[in-house]
Amino acid sequence: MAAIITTNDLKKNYRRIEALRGVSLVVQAGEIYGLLGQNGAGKTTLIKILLGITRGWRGQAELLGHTAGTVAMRRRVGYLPEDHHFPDYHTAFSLLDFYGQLLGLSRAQRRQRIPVELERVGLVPRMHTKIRGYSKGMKQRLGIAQALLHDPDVIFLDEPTDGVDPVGRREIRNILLELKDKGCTLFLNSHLLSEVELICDRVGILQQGRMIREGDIKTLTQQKGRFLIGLAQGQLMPLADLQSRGYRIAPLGERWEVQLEEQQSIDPVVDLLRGLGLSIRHLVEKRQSLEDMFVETVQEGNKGNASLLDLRERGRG
Amino acid sequence: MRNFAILKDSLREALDSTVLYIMLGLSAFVVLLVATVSFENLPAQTTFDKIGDGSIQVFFDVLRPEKADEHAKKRLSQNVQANLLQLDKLRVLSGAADSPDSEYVVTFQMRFSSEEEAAEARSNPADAVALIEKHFKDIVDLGLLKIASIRLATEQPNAEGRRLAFDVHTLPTSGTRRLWCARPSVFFGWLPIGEENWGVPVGFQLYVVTNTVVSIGSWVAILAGVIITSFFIPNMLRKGTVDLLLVKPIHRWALLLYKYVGGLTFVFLNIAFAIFGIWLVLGLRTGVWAHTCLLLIPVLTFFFGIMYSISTLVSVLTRSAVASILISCGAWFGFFLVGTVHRLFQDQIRVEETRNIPMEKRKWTDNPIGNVASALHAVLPRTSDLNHLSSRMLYSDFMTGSLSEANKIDLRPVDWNESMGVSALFVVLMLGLACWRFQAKDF
Ligand SMILES: Nc1ncnc2c1ncn2[C@@H]1O[C@H](COP(=O)(O)OP(=O)(O)O)[C@@H](O)[C@H]1O
Ligand SMILES: [Mg+2]
Repeated sequence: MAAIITTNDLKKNYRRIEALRGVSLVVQAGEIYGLLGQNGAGKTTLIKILLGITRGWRGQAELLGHTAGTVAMRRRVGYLPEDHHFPDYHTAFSLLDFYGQLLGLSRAQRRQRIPVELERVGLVPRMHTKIRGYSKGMKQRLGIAQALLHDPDVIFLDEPTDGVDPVGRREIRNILLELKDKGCTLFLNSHLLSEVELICDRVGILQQGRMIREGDIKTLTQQKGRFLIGLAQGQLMPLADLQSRGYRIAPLGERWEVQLEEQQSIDPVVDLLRGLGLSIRHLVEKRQSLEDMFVETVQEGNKGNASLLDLRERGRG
Repeated sequence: MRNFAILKDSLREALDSTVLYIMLGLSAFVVLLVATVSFENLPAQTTFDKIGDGSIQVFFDVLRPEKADEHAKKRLSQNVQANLLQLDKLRVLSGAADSPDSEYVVTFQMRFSSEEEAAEARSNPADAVALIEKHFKDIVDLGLLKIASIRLATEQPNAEGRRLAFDVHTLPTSGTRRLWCARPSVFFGWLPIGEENWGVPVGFQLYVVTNTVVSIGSWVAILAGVIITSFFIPNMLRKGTVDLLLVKPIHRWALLLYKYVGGLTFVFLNIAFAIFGIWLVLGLRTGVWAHTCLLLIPVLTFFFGIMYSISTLVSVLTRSAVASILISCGAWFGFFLVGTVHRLFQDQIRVEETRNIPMEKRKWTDNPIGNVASALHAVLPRTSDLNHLSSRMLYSDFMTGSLSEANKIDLRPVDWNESMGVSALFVVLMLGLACWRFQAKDF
């Protein structure tokens, strides 16, 4: 597999604001990559550097084997900006026709492609009315259509479901899943984590211009060997006993969280508790959604006392 | 292909604004109003009568676009003596009666101060003929009429006395029509203007009408153009819009330049519509086809191009249409001021030179204000020259029929290569700066 996107120690300052402080990532062909992060983390900046919209960066940034910002390779890239604003004197059709011309599509290609893409996003019935009359959701779908118009090799979507109602969001998600099946390379910026979880193969979490966590979505959300145990009212957890046997245990509200090591199992813990005559009222293996993982990671990051390495360790732990 | 796409997009944006339709409507209204003006040619007597007393020649002198300084003013009028000749009778040699396209023999009477003088001229008319030739010189020089011969008439009013009759044989030229006296009316002859015997050449009347319409109209058109087009680039640079264009496989400078050309095209079409309309209706109504007038289309477009290059730079720097409008209009006024002050000083310096005023007494020569104006004039676009050029085009069109004829009487010759060069260089500089800034900008 060839690397479609490569950045290495990418840095960008807007005057005094350090938007990116050394970001390294690689996206392979056919991969769906999700970049997560709070507002202002630098997600949009990263995309804009790759597409040549923002200049004056340091480090390495390559797209499709060329240094980011090269004119010729933009022919092969689709982009949906966040907060996009289409010139509203256009209709959906004339806008795509205009963009198609700029992309160097022939007249015949445009005649063939435009209705196909508008059909895909369900805009055909309104394609000859002016954009100024479109709803937010329609504009978003038009945005996706224009990003796909020239059948690009890689597609960048910046907050594609932002401000779209649940039904529209599902429609967009279906389009993205369709693209995924087709084997497109997608780069997705989002803070709507349930979507990312459904679509993406791999995610990175950006915080204050740094990549604080990156990995396979399955690995990141997996919670190996983390259990919650609750005892009957008034009963005390034999902490010292468990710890002496090498179990890591910590209180979590009314309950206790047990963190197992590689070779450990939860069964001996249950046996021990039962052996002491304690009644177990609650036992559950903890699963983590992407959202939990994200919030946890970001909070850890905000504390500032955790180094990058530390977090990675915890992620795998 | 791509470039054409951006032009088309600009045009679409312009067509989307109601201001365009208001402007086109206004232009159409002016053109139609001009179309209702009609000219009724007066009899040949009127024209030759006015040439005889010298009043027609005065129009060609006094009404030149640029008022001459005292010395130069003499150049034309010194040829003409008021009331030198009195129309006696005229005969059509060929062509229709009272038509400017006919060939005439016009008999004028000339009055001498004494009977002896008249008698002498009768025996040796060469001096008198030369005087008459001189009286016609300006008109002939401007190609408005040809004189085949001037000779002593065979039939004299009285054998003795102080008057002598001369036959002037005239041939028409393509410009004679402009010289012809005609009576104007508006609303298709409904409302005549002036008395029956209006001794004003049709060319002069056309000049006044078009110069008024064009100078007010071009001002309005360029101002409206600056306002409408000043939104093009800030709109393109809006967050969320510009990103979509910047990711297309096209260089940023090309994007900006084509947007500039798009604005220019829009104003060009507007100006072309109005000027072509005026040219067409005047030609149809009067038979005077003022082709040079069409050159106003590129001249006015160039004028706008200067203003729009400033607007483009300001738009890239500030992304604000309001700032672009204010700064372009400010620059417009600034150029006008520099041009006017510079011209004032140049004229006065010339007067001081021709009068041979001693150096230490000269007030205008080497004046600090004049020097500042000169320095600014040297580097800033010469919009005042363009105004001068458009007036002169109209003047030449309606008065003389050709620009080269008009050059003969232009008393304030401009080095057009230099003038256009400096203005064009300014445009290149503005656009260069705009592209350079745009190229490096983060969005
Ligand atoms: N054009 C710009 N000029 C100045 N600062 C900017 C600009 N664009 C983004 N920033 C700043 O850079 C940081 C990262 O922004 P951005 O990449 O938009 O984050 P995200 O997309 O993750 O919300 C923010 O602090 C933002 O204020
Ligand atoms: Mg963003």
